[in-house]
Amino acid sequence: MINDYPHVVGYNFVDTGEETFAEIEMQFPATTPKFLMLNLAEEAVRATVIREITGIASAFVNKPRFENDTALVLGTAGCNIRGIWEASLVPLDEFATIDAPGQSQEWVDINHLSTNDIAAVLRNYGVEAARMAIVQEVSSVFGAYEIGVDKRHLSLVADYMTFEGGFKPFNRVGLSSSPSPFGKMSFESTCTFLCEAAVNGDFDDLRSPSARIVMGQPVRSGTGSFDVLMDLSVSTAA
Amino acid sequence: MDSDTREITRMWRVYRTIHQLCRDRNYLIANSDLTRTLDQFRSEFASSGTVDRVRLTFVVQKKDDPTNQMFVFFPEARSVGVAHIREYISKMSKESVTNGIIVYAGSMSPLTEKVRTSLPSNYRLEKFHESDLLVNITEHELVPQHRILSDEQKKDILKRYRLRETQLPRISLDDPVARYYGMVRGQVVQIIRPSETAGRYVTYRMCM
Repeated sequence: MINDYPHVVGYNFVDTGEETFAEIEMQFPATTPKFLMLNLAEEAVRATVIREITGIASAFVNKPRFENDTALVLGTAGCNIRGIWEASLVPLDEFATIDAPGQSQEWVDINHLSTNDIAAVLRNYGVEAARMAIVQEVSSVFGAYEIGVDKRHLSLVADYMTFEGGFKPFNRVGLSSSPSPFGKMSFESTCTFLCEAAVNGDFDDLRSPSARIVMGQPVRSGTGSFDVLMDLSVSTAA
Repeated sequence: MDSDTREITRMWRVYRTIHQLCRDRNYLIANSDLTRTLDQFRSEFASSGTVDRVRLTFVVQKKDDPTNQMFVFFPEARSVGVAHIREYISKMSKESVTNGIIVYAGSMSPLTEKVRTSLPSNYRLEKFHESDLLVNITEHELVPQHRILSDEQKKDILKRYRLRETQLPRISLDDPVARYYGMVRGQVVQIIRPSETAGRYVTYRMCM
């Protein structure tokens, strides 16, 4: 190395027990203009890829999943499920910095991957997993604001979204094709849908549950799905 | 880890997953095929240092019908051509086997794909890329239990719930789980989801 690079005068590999690093000593003539070492180092790091998973920009250690859980939860920016599958082939001892002697060869618990990239889940694990992921992710978004939403609401939403085998949005855009103006109004942007219905002279046949609730009518399901008629002539005779 | 070791580990996983797949499709699988360790795999199929794909080829038979067999092929070439498909089909017809799976490493040309999908109707040749089988997706915590229903069971379900086929939720033909179980259009799969409120929640999806 000293022969290849004229500025390098010496190097040394250090192992303190806690960390290992290499020291490189360089000498320049006093006439050399000033330069920033940090920028150069960053550039060199970027050009030297030791190991990467395409699509994953950075990784960090998250909170354990439950108390006293010793397993590390790794969060990443970016998602590449197949990349992780490939990476799981590399045995643990290849990662010199992770100190876990005698552990099983598989360092990643491949059956507990999770991501908010629903499309990636759909592609790699199928529609049922995507449905579960929707429930999980929506619940965690609400959970971040300490809003508890019953799982029954969420699973209904997820069922609707994955009904066709893929997944479609559940919002006012996805709903706008609904034939019931009251149903749409009770969901979101009431005025917009009200004006639209008024301008178009739209009507509502009051069949959808939300439309019936808006008008204070019993929903046509369960005990609301039939009427009871009484034969008055019979009852007066008896 | 050098590339040969990586390749062996890869194929060991793929080989294990494809056996699990056959087991889950109700084929008779020896326990030793499901529990084979990496070292056993290496000495059995990669004694020369690289995986001998031709030796990986195996045939399985249904648990309840020994005449219903399926071939699993591992082409040596990275890209699978029409000649491979022809070869496999002739091998299958010689043994009077109608089902087969190709596990390939590289790519399949559109023409090969066309030949594969337009085989005579009594033959079925499925394909899996090796990277599809690195991991058994049905073991993932998000994937609930799937069970393919027979035609009779399907009829019962539709009758019991008074449903038309189109009213069932759907699962795509190329959904990874549908491919794992080798579903065909029109089949219904029973899905048993864990549920916080009901313990177990049973639902159905029809393959479209």
